[in-house]
Amino acid sequence: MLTGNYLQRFLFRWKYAIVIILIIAAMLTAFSFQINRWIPEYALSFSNLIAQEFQTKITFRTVRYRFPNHLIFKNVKVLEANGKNTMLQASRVTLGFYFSWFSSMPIFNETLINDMVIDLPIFKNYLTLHGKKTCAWAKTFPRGKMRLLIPNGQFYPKGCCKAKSIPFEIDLSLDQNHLNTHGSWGDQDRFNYELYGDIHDSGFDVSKLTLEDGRSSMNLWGSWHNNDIYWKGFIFYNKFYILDIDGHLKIQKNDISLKQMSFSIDGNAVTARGDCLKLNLSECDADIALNNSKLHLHAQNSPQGPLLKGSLDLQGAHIDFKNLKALIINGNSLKLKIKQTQSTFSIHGNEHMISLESLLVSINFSNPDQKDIALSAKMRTGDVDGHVILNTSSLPWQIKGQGKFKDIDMYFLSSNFSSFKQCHGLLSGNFKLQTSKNIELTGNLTLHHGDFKGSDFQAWMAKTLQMPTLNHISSADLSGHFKINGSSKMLDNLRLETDNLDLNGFFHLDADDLVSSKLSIRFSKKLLGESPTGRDIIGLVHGAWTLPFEFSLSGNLYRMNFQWNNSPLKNKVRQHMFSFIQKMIDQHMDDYTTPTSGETSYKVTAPNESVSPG
Amino acid sequence: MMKLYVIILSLVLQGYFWAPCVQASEADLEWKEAVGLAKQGEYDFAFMNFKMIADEYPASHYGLKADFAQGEYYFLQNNLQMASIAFKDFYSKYPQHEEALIALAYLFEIAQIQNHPNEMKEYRNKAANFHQLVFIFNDNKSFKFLSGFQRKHKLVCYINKVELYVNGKLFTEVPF
Repeated sequence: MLTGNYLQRFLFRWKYAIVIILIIAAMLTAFSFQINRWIPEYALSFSNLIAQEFQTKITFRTVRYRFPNHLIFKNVKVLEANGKNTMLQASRVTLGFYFSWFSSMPIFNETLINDMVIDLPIFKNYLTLHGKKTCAWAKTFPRGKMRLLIPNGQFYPKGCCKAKSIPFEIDLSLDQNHLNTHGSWGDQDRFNYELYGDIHDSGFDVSKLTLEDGRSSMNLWGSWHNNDIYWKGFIFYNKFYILDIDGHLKIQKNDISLKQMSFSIDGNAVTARGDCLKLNLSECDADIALNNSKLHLHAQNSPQGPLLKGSLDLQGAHIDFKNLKALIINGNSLKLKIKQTQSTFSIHGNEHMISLESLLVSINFSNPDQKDIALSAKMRTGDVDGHVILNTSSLPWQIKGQGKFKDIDMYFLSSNFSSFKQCHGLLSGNFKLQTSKNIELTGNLTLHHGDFKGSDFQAWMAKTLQMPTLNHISSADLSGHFKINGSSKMLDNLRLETDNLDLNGFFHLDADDLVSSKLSIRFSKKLLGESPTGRDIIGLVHGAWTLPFEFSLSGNLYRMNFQWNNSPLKNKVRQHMFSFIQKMIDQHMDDYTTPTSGETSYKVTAPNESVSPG
Repeated sequence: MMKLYVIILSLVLQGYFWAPCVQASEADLEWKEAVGLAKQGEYDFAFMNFKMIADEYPASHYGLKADFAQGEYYFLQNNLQMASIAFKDFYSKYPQHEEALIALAYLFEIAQIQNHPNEMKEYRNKAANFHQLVFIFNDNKSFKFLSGFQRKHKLVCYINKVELYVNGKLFTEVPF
């Protein structure tokens, strides 16, 4: 009996339960049926409203509700207002929503977009036209928790299907004012990014923005409030450390102004400032300090287009240039056209200047570690052409170059090199340039119809050899091989020919201005006859002017030691001259050079006399 | 009256000249003693005398030699640091004297022993700039100097180098 009652009660309870379940199921079915009937209409009208508000057109194939709080749109497209071009499209958009007591509208708190495709040029164009309005609308969203997921999107940088697309991923979370997003873009060169920040009414604070690929990384932080953007950070890029980044950009109605920008690359400081007016460059200054060199650039807008001028200070040299025009071709080649450059530099404390005109420079930087530079310029009467390869794979940068110059009048170098002050002649030649530890410049030069007057070396020669004519050498042909290595300079295979003399030899000058030189000079009879000693030699040796004098020079450049080396001519002179006369001549030369000691005198020794050590 | 003036004048003049004469003779005696001690091998005592001459009678005939002897003493004692200081002082005190070139040769040798290439370069440049030489028939010029320690120094200048011989042996060569 008891068992029967219990079973009856149990079945009775189950009956109720089943009835309740059936009622709920029926209600849910009815709700689902109703919502799926009502939602497309609502979604359509809502999307039309949005589209109308933002000058776009939104289409989708289906929309359905998924229990408990998701809406799923399929084949969604956002088109331009004309309905022709698609900006954005996705195979599926899932929206999570909830209802709030404080809002009559559902609040969307989760968005998942699958297979999103962005046509970047169209989207960019749309943002330029309606970006402000869209941002203002986005700000009206209720501040709560929100998440946007785009797991496998792709964008076409040059327009849909025109070139290869670039994949990207976005995972964005917004909690009240705090924004946190991370993701990636790129296929082979894949970048990962991470952004943490806070949204305020006046702008945005970024506490962390990182961007990294396999070999570089960037870390920035800063803020954008009202019209001011500040940022700081550091970058590691391809073996270079860019540290202490500090920038300030001010955006005004018609003006974008880079108030200041500074950073350092491996300890070398770079600073820049500039202004843009109506999105066109108005004025810009940049100062770059690299390896003890400073580059200053000043760009200014003009009716003829942007004008760029500046200066470069490079290890004691100062180069001013003006009217620079630059053109970048295919993103890997830079063409520079400079109307005029003026370089001033200092050697031994003396200021020199070289002016180049119509300088054409082509820089190919398709290889990131190597820049190919071709240049040509006019230098008054002549031309200069060169080709330089700049290896930037490590600091200091390595330079290799070669070039040639033709018909440059020495007179135009006279303002640069005081030694050429009163010199004329057309200088031609070629050169090779290489920097490793030191700068090495080698080459050959020839000079035709040279006219040398008043150089220090000539004055020294004329005084030492007592030949006043040497103060002015005309109709000279000069040739030689030069080599400048660091601070030392060499002139080899030197040959100077005039009507009066024929000179061969070498002249080396080390870093401390110490000379080492050997010269073989054949003087004409007329020139030899100018010197009293020369006249004696002519009297002693028959046809002395046909034999060369062999000389050595050494010591301080400005007070050179001089020696008449042994030679057939000197031997013949010796044979015909008493030894006491030779000593008298030597004594005379001693008096001629200013003695430094007032208290002691030297004993001179002839080459054939051995120097006794005692 | 005239006689009195003559007597006073002669006394004043005597006083004026007498003091240096006494000094000279004292410096002479000190020098002779120092050289005697150097010859006996008593270098330390000789050095004391040379230093006294340099301090007490710097203007005397032996002042230069006494100054040089101090550098030489430190060098002989293998105290290269002090020798370097003494020869540098000597060079700056007597830059116009040939003995200064000998001091430079010592300084070059000390820098070479100490393996100080920058100092070697500095002394080489100073030696190269010391004077301008012109050789027509001869090819070198020499200078002899007997130091306080009785070492015979001989400086031979060529167009591109300076050689210093001490007691007949090549002491150092400064090429430039």
